Amino acid sequence: MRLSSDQLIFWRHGFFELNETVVTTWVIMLVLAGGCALITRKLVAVGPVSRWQSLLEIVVTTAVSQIKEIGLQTPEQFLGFIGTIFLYVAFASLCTILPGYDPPTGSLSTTTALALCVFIAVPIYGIQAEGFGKFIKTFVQPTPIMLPFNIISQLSRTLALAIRLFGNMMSGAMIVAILLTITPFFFPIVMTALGLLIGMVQAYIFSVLAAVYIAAATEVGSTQSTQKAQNNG
Amino acid sequence: MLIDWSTVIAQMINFLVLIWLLKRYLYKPVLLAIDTREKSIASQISLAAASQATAQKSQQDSALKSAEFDQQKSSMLAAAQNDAAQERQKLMDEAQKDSDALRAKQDETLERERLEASREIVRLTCKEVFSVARKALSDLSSVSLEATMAGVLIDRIGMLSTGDKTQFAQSLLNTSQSVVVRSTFDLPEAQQNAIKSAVKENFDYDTNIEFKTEPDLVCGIELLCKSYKVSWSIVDYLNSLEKAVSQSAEAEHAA
Repeated sequence: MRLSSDQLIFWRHGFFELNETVVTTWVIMLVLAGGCALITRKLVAVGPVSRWQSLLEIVVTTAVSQIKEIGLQTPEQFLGFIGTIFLYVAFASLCTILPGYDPPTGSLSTTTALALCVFIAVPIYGIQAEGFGKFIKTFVQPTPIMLPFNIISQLSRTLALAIRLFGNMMSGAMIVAILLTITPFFFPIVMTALGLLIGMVQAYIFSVLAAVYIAAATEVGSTQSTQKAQNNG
Repeated sequence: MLIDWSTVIAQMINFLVLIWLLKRYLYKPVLLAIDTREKSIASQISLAAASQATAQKSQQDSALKSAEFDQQKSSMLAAAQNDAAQERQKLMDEAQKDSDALRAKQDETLERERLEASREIVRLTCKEVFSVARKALSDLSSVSLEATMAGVLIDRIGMLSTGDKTQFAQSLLNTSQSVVVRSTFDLPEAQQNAIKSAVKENFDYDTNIEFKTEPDLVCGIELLCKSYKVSWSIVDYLNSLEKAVSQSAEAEHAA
């Protein structure tokens, strides 16, 4: 029994290998990008819109409003990163209803990759918003003693992101696989539905946490300047 | 090991590519479409607001014009009614004036006709009366009547005032013409002498008295000298009668 889709390798060349996780991700990317390209090819700005266009508009506007609610005042800037995390994880979870499908998010490699992306994106956005010096200073706030703890915090939350998503998705797939061997008829369907729900919730959690981390990084400077202004006032 | 680092790297690259793809085919076009629609709706709303403002202004203008029109209508109606009343009064006055003029003309015509009729009646009456009187006096005239008329003339000469007598005598002296005594019939010698003696006595005049017979006098006798005359005639009475009858008719009409 395979614990991860990484173990199904199609092609290998030295360090690089083409496994099921990568291929599945490619398929998901193809479906998402191709579907969006097909729908947005006939976008209508004024007048009656198609159902697919309405679906995309709902997804995009909901993502924008969620990002804004989290505290990012320019949601369009972060929509590409956070929205893509949600769509990728959600679509990967949604496809679990397909028989024989192993979600790429059930691979620790994929969740680690996503967590590393967040880990890298947070300082990039923070430096972009506040500048390098101010962002670095946040690691020694409120005192330099907190430096190791802040570094550990950054690493641990990245690890937590990766492990949380991996655990939830892998456990769902494993439970279904195990139940299929015990009660192969009705109960796995229920668990699949539950896994679908869990997958959606995890997609939401992952993207919201990424948004929160980015918001925390970008708003540190503005919050401090606000506090200073209040103190001076 | 659960983490395959080559897969991790591949998945990171895949994720970045997916970000680019979705930005290219999802986020940008959808956000652009939404922005375009929002702008279109905003422009439509502003256009509708402008149209509404224009409509409200038009409505206010219409209401104002309607009020002005109503006011003008009422004022014009009042002016027309006033003009009509004035025209009516004018026409009534003209009609009244014409009526009065016609009535006055009619009254004048009637008065004239009445006067003419009255005159005609008087004239006819006088004519008849005179005709009858003339006939009667002709029938009754005789020498004795002539003698009586001569007596009456002598009496009248005697009854003249002193001023009249003086003026008459003065005119007798200043004229070369002879004194004429006219009568209807030939006066007898005795009456002629009586008249001559009366003239001599009253006017101190004793020459050249001419006696003429004038049947037109009907029944009368007169003493003429230049512009003075002393006479008696039944025609005088008849003329007085005619004048009296005419005055009586006019007084009756005035009443």
